[in-house]
Amino acid sequence: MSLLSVSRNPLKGLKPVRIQFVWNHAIRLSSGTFGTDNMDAGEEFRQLELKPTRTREKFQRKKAPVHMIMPRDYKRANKIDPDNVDWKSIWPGPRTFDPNAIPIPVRQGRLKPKQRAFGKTANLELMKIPTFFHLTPPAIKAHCEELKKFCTPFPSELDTKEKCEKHFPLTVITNDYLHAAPTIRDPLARIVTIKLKLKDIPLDEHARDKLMRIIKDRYDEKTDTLTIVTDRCPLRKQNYDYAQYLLTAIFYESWTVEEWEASKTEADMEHYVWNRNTSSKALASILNWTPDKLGKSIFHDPLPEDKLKPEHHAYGKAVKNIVEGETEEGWSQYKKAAVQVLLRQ
Amino acid sequence: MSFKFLQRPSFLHNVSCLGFTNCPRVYQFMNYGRFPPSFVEPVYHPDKFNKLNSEEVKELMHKNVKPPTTSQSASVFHDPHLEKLVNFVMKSGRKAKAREIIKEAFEKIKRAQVRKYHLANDSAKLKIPTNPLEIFHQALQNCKPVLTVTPVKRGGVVYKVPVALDDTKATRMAYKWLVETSREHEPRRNHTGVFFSDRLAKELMDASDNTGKTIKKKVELHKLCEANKAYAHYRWGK
Amino acid sequence: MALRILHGEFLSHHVGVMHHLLTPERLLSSVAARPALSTLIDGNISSANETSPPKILSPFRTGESDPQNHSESQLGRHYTIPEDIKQTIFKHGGLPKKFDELTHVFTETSIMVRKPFLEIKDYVKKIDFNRPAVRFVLYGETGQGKSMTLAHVVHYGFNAGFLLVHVPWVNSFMRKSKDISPSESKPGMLDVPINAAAWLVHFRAQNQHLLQKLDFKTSKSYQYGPRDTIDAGAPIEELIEFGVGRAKYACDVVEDLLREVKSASNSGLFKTMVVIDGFNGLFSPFMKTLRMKKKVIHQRCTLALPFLEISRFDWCNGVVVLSVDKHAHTDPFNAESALPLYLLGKEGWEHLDPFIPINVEEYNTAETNSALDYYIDRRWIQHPGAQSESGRAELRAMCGGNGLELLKLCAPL
Repeated sequence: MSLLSVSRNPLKGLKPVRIQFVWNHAIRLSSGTFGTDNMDAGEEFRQLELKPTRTREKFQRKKAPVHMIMPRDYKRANKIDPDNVDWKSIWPGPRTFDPNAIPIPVRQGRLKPKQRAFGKTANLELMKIPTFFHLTPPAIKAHCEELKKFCTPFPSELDTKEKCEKHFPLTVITNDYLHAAPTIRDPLARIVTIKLKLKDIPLDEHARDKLMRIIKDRYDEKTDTLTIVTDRCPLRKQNYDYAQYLLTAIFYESWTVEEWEASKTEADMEHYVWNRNTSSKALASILNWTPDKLGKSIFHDPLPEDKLKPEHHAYGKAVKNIVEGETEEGWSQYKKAAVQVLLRQ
Repeated sequence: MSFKFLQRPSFLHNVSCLGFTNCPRVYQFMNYGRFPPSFVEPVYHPDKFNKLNSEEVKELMHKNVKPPTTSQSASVFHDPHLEKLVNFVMKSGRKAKAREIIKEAFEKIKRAQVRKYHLANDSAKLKIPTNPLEIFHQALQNCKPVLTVTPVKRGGVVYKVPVALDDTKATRMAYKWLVETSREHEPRRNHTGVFFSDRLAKELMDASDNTGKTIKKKVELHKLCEANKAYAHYRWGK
Repeated sequence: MALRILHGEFLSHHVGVMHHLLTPERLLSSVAARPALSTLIDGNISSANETSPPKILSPFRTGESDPQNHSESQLGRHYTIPEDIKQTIFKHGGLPKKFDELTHVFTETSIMVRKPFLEIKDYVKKIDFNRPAVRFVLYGETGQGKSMTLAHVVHYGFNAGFLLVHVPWVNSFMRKSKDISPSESKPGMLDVPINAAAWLVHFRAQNQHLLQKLDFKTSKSYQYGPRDTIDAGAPIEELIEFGVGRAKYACDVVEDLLREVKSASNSGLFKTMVVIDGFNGLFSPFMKTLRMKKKVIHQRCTLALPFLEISRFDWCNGVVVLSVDKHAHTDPFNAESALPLYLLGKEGWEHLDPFIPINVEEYNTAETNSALDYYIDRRWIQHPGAQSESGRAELRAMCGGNGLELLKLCAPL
């Protein structure tokens, strides 16, 4: 039932009527006062119950239907027909609610029970709230038509997503906010996010490692995306410039090699390389052990590449697997490799 | 990974409570589950379950059945007498603790008895009871009084009149006495190194042999009844 | 013994049974059981039991009481450790506490033969004793059988003639030491005199028979105090006696003793088997005592050092069997994983790598059934419900293959 089609109340002026159920004595009497369950069809006498166990049916009253009492002027007032008139010219911009200009019946306002609803004339609630009658779909369509003059078409060569990403690897994300208020400003609109895939920028092993350490958790491994979010400046343009600066700075920083980088220890390594670690030294010590070496545990440097046999490689791989994340399967692999190395079959 | 198997219903016997799955209405009651009188006790154990004939089953299908509590399991190891004992041992609603204590007591009984068994001759072996559950049942049976005294007022004087006991009450008294005697010397401040489970184990062992403090209580009650035999007729009318 | 069966059955009035009993397999198996009978019957019990008829072995038992002969055919079966051997090697520890209490009740010590032990035995057979000592590390969740496997290994080592260096449970001196005192020879570390002396007693008890046969003498002289000297060339028993008598120097004595053992092994005098339960506890940076329960002293223990030294690979003629346990971890109640790397930590890993890890898994169905059969036979499970399939299935499911859990579950039954 739309607002525009008002039902004609035939009982105009009459108050709503409450319908009552009449308690039917006859029903109750006819079923018998005692032991209704125990009455068989053919029996003459009612059964005497010292302790009656029947349960009375609770009398249910139907509640009177409650409907809102409409305002007295709840019908189409003026002669403006919204479908055939040029609404844009009547209501071109934001304006307070005008009951005479708006053709439809509207009601607004919180009601107490059994209170008649407030109509639209001199309704403070309606006048307080902002109206959007200037933003009807035809009006917006006209706006868009006007704006089209200032737009250029999307380039047809960029028809697939891959092509877009190839030519425009950098993504800049900004948000605009709209409020139901006179002001268009929002402090969150200054935030700028930059996303870039690392495969699109040239990095060697050292640069990549250093970049990872600089950006830390701004990098997503699954999508290979670096995300920089800037919000420290008050204006969007400033934040965007800052983000660009950051990107340039970290790129060049990752390519420069400092002197102190040479003192990187094993604990700083992000990947486990077996051949540099104590594990390979221990293996080398075991392989080169003689009885006179009692008292010295790890005394040998790791074996050079040419002396490593396939079982040693397997062992190294198994160790790396364990150190990077131990699992049951990892341990069974390690066991196989260790048996090969330690026990001569 | 703590399993309290005496509490858990066995997963192998899932739908053991007849009628519950057929319950058409959902009753919402207070947390401790007080059901209206029309609700019937559940048949949760396969032993009882399998003994129902088809008529009883039909009857139950159409009745509202209470759901089984967590202590009522369909497990092979379930024993309703044991559950009752747990309740009597329990303090402040700490059922898990009570259950643990009883388990410990049973273990202690078993340790002592099984070692005795292994060290005994073949002829003596048969006489050594080793099943703690059987010992407990025997103890319970032995502790049950047959008569008790009830106060009856006649001519301003209150007499202690001996009166017959029905089984439920007698069993209840047996449980209560067993637990009470075990609690009697519970350490208050200085822990003497003897735990409640030790005392309970000892009481159960003694009671199954018809010795010990609990049996003494029963015997004294019987003696009291015997002494007041003359007033037995006061039980009925003036 | 065979005659006795016949005599018994004449009295039984069951002719069919007698016919069944006189089958050749039964007689043969009772004859085969004869060497094991001495093991099944307690040494403790007086002559009262000598008149009992022989037990016919059940499928969950095996008569083979020498672990050197255990093989795949004994998998899942319980073998009994002879009482005199048990008194020698396990008197001062080695069997888990709950299991030890059970042996008291059952009047016998029976261990189930399981895969981890057979693996270790096979590997030990393959070891080239001229190469550096091989380390084995047992790992697994609590209650799955690490300590039991180690006990089995100790028995095997004893029978095979290894010199045993056995630490039953590391936390007994790292966490629950009876007495802590600052060390004199190693400033900044803590001594545990009483525990060290107790360990020396244990070592002596386990290896007495071997030391009597061997010509094991000290290689150099040791001076502990102004008048306490052990000369070079003295029998090693003298060093041990000194340590036991003077608990003050016991930690140093242990260190020197183990160095001697290591070098003697290295030169081929004998083979050594090092068995340590809860090895990851040795890397603990702090100590606690029974008395000062709430106090944690952040200093290292001197008694840990000799055991760390002997578990290195820089000697030959040795086997090192270790176990890592959650309970030996620095924070036993919050240990997240039972896997070796987590429990050992960086220090432990670098100390031990490379080693052979042995996973002690849960019981499979056959093993659980065997354990249940054993408990029923020994009358640990009295409840008739456990004989039924549903009762057994319930117990199997509830314990989840964990041996300790099964023991606890069956306790009140």
